Amino acid sequence: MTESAGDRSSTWPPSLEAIDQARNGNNSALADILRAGHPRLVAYFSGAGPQRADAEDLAAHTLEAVVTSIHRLKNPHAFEGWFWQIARYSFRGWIRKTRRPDRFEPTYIPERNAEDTVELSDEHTQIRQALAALSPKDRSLLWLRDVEDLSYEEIGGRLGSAVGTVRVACHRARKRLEEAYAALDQDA
Amino acid sequence: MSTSPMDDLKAYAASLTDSVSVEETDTVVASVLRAPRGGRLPLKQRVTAVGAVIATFLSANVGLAAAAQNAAPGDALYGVDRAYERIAAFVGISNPRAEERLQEANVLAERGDASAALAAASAALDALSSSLEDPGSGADDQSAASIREASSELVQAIPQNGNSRPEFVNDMMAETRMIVQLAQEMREAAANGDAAEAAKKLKDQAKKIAERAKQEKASNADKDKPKNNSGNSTP
Repeated sequence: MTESAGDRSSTWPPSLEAIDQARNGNNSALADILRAGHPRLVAYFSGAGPQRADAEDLAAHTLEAVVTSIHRLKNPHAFEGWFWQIARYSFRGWIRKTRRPDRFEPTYIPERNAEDTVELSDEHTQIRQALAALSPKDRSLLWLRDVEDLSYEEIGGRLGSAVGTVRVACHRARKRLEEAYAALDQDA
Repeated sequence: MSTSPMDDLKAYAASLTDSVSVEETDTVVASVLRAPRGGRLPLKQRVTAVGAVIATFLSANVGLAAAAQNAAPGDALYGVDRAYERIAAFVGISNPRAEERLQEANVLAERGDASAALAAASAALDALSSSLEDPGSGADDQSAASIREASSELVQAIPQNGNSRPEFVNDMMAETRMIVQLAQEMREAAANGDAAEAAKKLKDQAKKIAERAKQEKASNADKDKPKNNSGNSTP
């Protein structure tokens, strides 16, 4: 039986001890953190819009940045905000580099086997279409807040945005998603 | 089918996350861990490391400077001593020290190296005239000029064969010591607002040294003159 990312979810977020060891040069602890973070990054980038291959590249790029800069992380408690900030910077850099907003459609549907593909395709088409109606920024905010459970402080703190601003932006993004989702429901 | 978009979003996220195989993750992680790291040590370790380097540097330099402090010309550490003085003067924490040059002159005189002692005494006078450029020294232009002239005369009083008379050297040591002391008195007088008299004493002392050096130079010149030996004439 092959291990899936779900089996690794218990290692995320990493313990403070693991983060502390990693930032102090413990390669084993760092590797564990990267292994736990990698599938989440691929999912984040895929959900934010880029095609799967680009999402994988972005995840690897983000992990590389984590490796080269984790020693500068002063407070282990800030790890998650710091980690996802790197991911968001990677995504923003990718947007600037590709200048292809039409590629942000979250079109990827995971394919595990034939039966799942049909089922997942049916289930996730609606949310993918609803996400496609949002801006990349809205998708990113929703993902970090509602999938990764980051606090408003963690999302906004490192980007210099006020907590209130992030809270309002998340609320509006959620509302837009619900509206787009409901509209698709009615069409169906 | 999910009834809430948030539930659907989370399910979609979970399916995306699950779609990443362990093999793919391991390949990526192994790759990024092999990437060159330009990073530095954590802040705490950096501070410790920098502190250790500074402490080592300071202790080594303080020890070396202390060991070199009393070095005189010709000693192995004399170059180190002067180097520290130049650095200190360059960064503005010290001026050339007449007292130290004088101390060197005394050491050399005690060792019997008369000419080197005179050269050191001359250097002491040069250092003294330089220090008098400080507005707070109380010196006038003539004081510094007189001392520079004394220094010049003192060097010229060193005979070409290098064999200065010990008596002359001892006199000059005493006179140089005197003028350094007078300069210090002048500084103190300047601090009290009246350095004119001290400055005059300083000039007189400088002239005394210059005059004494001139006499010695003349004496040396007489000794170096080829003796007019009439018996050497060709028969």
